[in-house]
Amino acid sequence: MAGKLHLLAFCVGSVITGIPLVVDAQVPDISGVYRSGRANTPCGRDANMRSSPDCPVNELGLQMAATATAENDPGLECIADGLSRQFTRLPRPMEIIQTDDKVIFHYEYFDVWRVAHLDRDTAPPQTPHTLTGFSVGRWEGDTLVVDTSHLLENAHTIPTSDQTTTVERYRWNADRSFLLLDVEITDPAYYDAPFRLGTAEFVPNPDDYIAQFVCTKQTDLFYGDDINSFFDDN
Amino acid sequence: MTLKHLLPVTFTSLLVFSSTQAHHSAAAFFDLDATISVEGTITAAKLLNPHSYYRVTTYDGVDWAWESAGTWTALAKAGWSEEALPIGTRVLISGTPAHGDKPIARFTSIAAYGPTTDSNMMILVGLDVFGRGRPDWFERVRQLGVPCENGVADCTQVSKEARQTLQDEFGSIGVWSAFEP
Repeated sequence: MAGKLHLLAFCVGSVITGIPLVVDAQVPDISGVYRSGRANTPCGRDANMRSSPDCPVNELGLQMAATATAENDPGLECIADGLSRQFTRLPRPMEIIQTDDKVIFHYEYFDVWRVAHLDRDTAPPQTPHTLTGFSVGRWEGDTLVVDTSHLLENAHTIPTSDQTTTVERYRWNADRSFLLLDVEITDPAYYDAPFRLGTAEFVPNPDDYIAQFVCTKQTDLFYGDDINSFFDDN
Repeated sequence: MTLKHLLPVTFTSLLVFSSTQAHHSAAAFFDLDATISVEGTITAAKLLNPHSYYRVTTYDGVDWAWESAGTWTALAKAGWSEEALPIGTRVLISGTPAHGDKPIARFTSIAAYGPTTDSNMMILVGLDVFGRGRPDWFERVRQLGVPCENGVADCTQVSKEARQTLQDEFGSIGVWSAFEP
């Protein structure tokens, strides 16, 4: 009975949204709005970054981390985080939209959209490198596995080169009260081996929604001559 | 009815903003081991993403920019608006100062006075956007007060007597102890 209701809910949702939703009854439903989890880095941050058994950062990675300063933080310029940094962000709203051939992640913070293509194994030729890269996904049992490549270089929080690939694994906990995310990062340029972030918990928050995120540059406040130029100009 | 009409004395504790990370690396901008308090008047508000700012002008004329760690989008969802802390509100604001000598800080609490002194005050507590929990006195405040009428989530209005109770039970660790009404 529960399965039939589940299927019915999917069909109704599909009629309303016009999006062909998942029909495979064996695939878990992870769609919905969540209070996103935070995957803690084992490396320390920026200038405090250190190599350890859990964080095999090499000298080049440490040098890259040292270039991350307050002045060049992309957020001040209203530029969204690189993917590795985004994993470590504090809990904020995120929505997962699940269809039969893709899983879409929409983060409220900086209005970031990501698509995990379930109908592809690799990125197309000439795929550009971007902040969130190109992602392909697959179901391994009850776990959604998302492989991402074609990322831009990032210096902040977790420095990563453009050779970086990430593997995300999403699955429900035992009582489906939250979604678990494990992330593994591989970057042959800045790390001597792959490493894992701390498991993040995404708590369903069906009363929330993803609001429009309009960003205003705030460099004038910190680096202008007078804080009042910020208050007067915006 | 505006907050001013409701609130002769307002205590605001935005605990969510005590977080150590926001859009930028907090440690890069702020001295997380230091605290600072400033008393003055709110003379401008920029309710923006990724951060919002209040300009607080001290009684001797110094302009400070006080940053919220949370996004404006998150605050707005919690019922925050320009009316929550109107221009002209007298405040005692506390938090973490920026590195360097610029008058910039990130606030962890705001105690706001209304235009008159009275036996009532409001405590706005714990938007808790970042899921780091609330202070141990949060539930006690909820027990002692009533929900505010300004639309801000988790806002509690408490009496002067309740403030004394908080002082007795928790000591000078809350915004209630920041100044004399």
